[in-house]
Amino acid sequence: MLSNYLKTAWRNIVRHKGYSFINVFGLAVGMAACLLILMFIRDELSYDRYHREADRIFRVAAHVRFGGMDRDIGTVPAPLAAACRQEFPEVEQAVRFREQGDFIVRHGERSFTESRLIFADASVFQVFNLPLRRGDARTALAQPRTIALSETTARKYFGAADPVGQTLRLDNQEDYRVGAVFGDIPSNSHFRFDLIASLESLEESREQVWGNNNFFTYLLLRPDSDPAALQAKFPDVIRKYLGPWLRQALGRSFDEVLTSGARLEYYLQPLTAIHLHSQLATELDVNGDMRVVYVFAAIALLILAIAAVNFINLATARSAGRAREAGIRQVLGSERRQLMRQFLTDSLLMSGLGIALAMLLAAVALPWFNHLTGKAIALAGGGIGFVAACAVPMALLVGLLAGLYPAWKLASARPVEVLKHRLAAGVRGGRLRAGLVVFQFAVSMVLIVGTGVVFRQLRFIQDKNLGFERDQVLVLQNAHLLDKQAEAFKNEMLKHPGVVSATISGFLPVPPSNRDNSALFPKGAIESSRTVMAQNWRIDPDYIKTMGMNIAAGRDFAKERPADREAVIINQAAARQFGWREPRGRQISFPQDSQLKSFRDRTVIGVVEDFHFDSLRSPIGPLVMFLGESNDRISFRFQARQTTAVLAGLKRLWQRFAPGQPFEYAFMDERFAELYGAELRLGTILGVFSALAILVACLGLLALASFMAERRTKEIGIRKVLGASVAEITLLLSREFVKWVVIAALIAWPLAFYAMNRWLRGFAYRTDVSIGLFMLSSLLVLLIALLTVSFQAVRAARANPVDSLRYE
Amino acid sequence: MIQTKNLKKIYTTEEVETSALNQINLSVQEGEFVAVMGPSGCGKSTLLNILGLLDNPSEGEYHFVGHEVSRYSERQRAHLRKANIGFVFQSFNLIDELTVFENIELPLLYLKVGGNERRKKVLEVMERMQLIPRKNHFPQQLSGGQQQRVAVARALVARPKLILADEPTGNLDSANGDEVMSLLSQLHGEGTTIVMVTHSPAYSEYAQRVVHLFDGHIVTENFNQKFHV
Repeated sequence: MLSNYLKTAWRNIVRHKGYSFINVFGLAVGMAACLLILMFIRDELSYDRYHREADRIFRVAAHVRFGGMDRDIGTVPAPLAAACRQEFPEVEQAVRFREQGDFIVRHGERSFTESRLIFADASVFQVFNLPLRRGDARTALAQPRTIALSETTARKYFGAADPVGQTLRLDNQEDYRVGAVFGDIPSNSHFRFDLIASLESLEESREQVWGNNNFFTYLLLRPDSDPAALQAKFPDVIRKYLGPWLRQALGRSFDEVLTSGARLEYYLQPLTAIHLHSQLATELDVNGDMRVVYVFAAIALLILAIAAVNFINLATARSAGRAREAGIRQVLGSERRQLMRQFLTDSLLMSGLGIALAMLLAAVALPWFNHLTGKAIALAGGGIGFVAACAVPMALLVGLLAGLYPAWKLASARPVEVLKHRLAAGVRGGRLRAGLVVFQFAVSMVLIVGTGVVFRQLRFIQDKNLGFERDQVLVLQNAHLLDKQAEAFKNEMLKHPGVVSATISGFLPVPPSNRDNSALFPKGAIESSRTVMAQNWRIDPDYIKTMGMNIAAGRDFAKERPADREAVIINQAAARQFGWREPRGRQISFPQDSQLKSFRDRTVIGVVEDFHFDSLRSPIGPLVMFLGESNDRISFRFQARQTTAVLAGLKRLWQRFAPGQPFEYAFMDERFAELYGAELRLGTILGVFSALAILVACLGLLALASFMAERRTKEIGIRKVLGASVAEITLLLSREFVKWVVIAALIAWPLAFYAMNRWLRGFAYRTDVSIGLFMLSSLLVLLIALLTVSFQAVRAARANPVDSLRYE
Repeated sequence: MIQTKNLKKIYTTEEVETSALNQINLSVQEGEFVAVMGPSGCGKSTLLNILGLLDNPSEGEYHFVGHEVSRYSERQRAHLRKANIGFVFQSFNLIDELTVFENIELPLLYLKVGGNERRKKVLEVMERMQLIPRKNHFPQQLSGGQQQRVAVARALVARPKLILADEPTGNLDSANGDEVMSLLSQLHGEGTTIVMVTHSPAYSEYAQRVVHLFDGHIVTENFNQKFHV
C-alpha cells in the first residue's frame, strides 16, 4: 500500500511540475537558510567546550568603581593567582595571561609581525587542553625566555625542521628558546594564540602590586567544588591582601577607600560562558554576543516558518484538486486513517525532497556563509552529522504540519460531497490561508525594517562628525623599529609633495592604537573622590593638526614654545569631569608611580572638541593629551588622488630606514570601518535573509495566486461574458492581497519598532527609527505581492472566456 | 439483498430544508437488475448514494445483506462497502495518477489481497474487458468508452455482490454506451445484482425492473416483460 501512496504522490509531483518545484524549492531555500544558521549557532555555543576540564575552569573578572566610573574588566592584579592557590583549597591550578601587544618575531631571515602572542604561566598546558606535538608540557615554559609555538607558526619559521631548542628574536631585542609545539588552537576558542611566551620572562609577573589590573587569570577548580561558594570568599581575600598594599601605597586603610565610594569586587566567569556572555573592558579577543545568537535563531525560525507556511498553503490549495481522488478512494473502500496516511506520506515525500535539496544548497552556500559571518564552519568532522540530525526532524515537522490539515479535512469529508465538488469550500481553508499569508507579509516587513535600521545606523556612523578627519590618513605601523630615527623619517617623508602633514604617536582614535587609562587629580586635591579616570595620550606638536581635530578653547601645542612640554590639552568631556567651566590655566597632577608618591603637574593650555576615540556604542570619555614620546605609529595626512604615490614613497623610505623589517600600514578610514564590522555583518546578514524570506514568500504567493485564479476560472469566464475588462478582473483577483498586506503592516509595524528601538539603544550615538522606513517596507511588500499576484491574475483575465467555461 | 423502509433524506442548508427522498420503500433481490429513472433532481443519485453506503438516510431503515446500516458510521460503512459494492460513475472517476492496471487494482489493495493473487485477479478482469493492451496507459490516454470499461473492470475486480451504476452511459456516445450496457447485462446474466440510474429509456430496457422516481417518491415500478416470459 505504501508503494501505491508513494507512486501516486510522485506522479502528482511530476504532473504538477511547476507547483511542485515552487513548493520544494521554496521549502529548500528556507530550510537551507535555517540549516546554515543552526550551524552558526552550534559553532557559537561550542566555544571552549573542547577543553577536557571546561566545566571546572573559571576566569576571575573584576568590577571596579574608581573615580566615579564603573568598569568590568577581565584582568586582575598579578599576585591574585598565587593568592587564590594559597587561600582556596578548591583551586587546583591557576594560569595567568599577559598581553603585550604586537611583536616582531624573527628567525634568521624570516620575520613577521605577530599579533597573537601571549605571555603565560607554565601551567597553561595543565589547565587548558592544548595538546603538545613536540616538547614537554612541564618544562616547556618553566624558564624565562622560553616560548611555545602553534604547529602552523612553527612551520612558518622553521619549515619541516624540529623547532625545539631553536631561538626566536622578539622585537629585535630578546632571544626566546622554543620549548614546545602545540596543536593549533581551534577557531571556537575565546583565545587564539600562535605563540605562548613564558610569563617568567616578565618582571611584573613577580611583583606584588595589587593596584594594576593587567593579568587574565584562570582557575582550575577541583572536581565537585562550588564556584559560588568560592566567589563568596573573595571579599576576605581582597581585604587581606589589598588592605596592606593600600596602606603602604596610598597611606589609607581599606575601609577608608571603601567609604570614599570606591569598589572592587572579584567574580568568576565560567570558561564556556566567556565567548557569548562576557563583554568586559578587557578581553583577549572580540567575543560573540548571546543576543546575536538569539536574533539569528529568531531569523532561522521565521524563515523556516515562512517556507513551511508556503508548503502548507500550497498543500491545502492543492488538496482541493485532490479531493476527487480522495473521494474515489473512499468509494473503493479506503478507510479514513488510510487516507490520512496517504496524504501525510504525500507531504512527507515533498518535505523529504525539500530537505534533500536544502542540504545540497547549504553545502554549496557554506563557504559564502562563512565569509559573511567570519566563521570557519566545516562539514567535515561533526558537521554533516549535525546537519542530518537537524534536517530529519525539520523535514518531519514541516511534512506533518503541512500534511495534517488537508489530510484530516479530506479524509473526514463524505465521499459523496467530495465527488460532487461540494468540498471545495471546505478544503479551501480560506481563513487559515489568509492568516498564513498575512504572517508571511508581516515577517518580511519586520526583516526589511530591521535591515533598513541597521544600515541607517551604519550610515549615521559614517556621516557622523567624529571630531577628527579619518579620510586620507595613512598610518605607518611598527614605527618603533625606527627608534631614534623616527623624527628624521617623518621629516624626510614630509618632503614628499603628496604629504600634507605628519605626526608621531601610537595613540589614535581608531584601532590598533595604544591606550592608557590612568587616574588624574586636580592639583592640590589628591583624594579619591576627586579622581578623574582619563585617557593619557602622548602626542607630538603636529598631532591635532594632522588628525583634523578642532580646538574649542585656548590653543594647540607649539614647537617653538619649550614650556609646552609641561602643558596639557584636554577634551570637553575631561573639562566636564573635572568640573571646570574655564579650564585654561588650571593644573592637573599626573601620578608618577603606582604608590601615588610623586606627581608631575601640567597646565591646561587648550580644550579640544570631543572626538570619538571608541566605538559609537559608548559615550566619549575624558581624555588628556600632552607632548611625549610614543613612537609606535606615524600618521601621514596626504592629498586626495595621491594615495599610490604616497604609499610608494613611504615604502621606499621604509626600506632605506629599516631594511628587512616588516612594512605595515593602514588607512585610517578602513580601520574606522572595521570598528563597526559586527554591525556591517549583522546588516548584511539581515539583508540577505530578508531577501531570502521575501523570495520564498513570493514563490508561495505566485503559486497561491495561480491556484486562486484557477479556482475562480468559471467566475472569471462568466464575468467576462457579462462584459468585465481585463483590468477589472485583475483588480478583482488582487484586491484580497492588498487587504492582507494592510493587515500585515498593522502587525509588523509595532513589532519592528520595538525590536529596532531596543537594538539602537545599544549605541550612545544613534539614528532614529524613521516612519519612512516602515512605509517603504510595506510599500515594497505590497508592490512585490501585487506584481506576483497580478502576473497570474492578468493571465487568467486574458484567457478566452469560452475556454474557462468549458472546463467546468 | 436490499430492503428499505420509509427511507427519508433531508438536506438542510442555513435557511431551507429540502427533502430529497421521501418514504422510499424498495427491495432488490439478489441477482436482480433494477433501473432507476426520473427527471433531474428527483433524488435518483441520492438514493443510489444511500444504497451504496456513501451516505446515511435522515430517517427510515436500510437493510443491506442482513445488516441494518442506516445508523452505521462512515468507518463501518467503508468496511461493508469495500467487500460488497462496486461503483460505476457517469464521470468514470478514475485516478489520473494511476495506470489502468493500478486503478483496477485499487479495491483489492484496500481489501488487503496479497500481491500475486491481486495481479492474477486484475489481469483476469482486464482480459475479460479487453484492456490488456491498455495496461500501462493512464486514464487521460484513453477514450471515454475505454475509461468506462476500466471503471467497470475496477467495480468488478473484487467480485462484489452489488454493482451500483450512476448514469454509466451519460458521458458516452451511443456505440460506447451500447458496449457498456451489454457488459452490465452480461454481468447480470452471471448473477451479479445491479442497480443503475439512467435517463435513457432505451438502456432501461436492459433491466428487469424500472423504478420511477419523482420529487423523492417512487411513483411507479414496471417489470420488464422480456424477463418474465
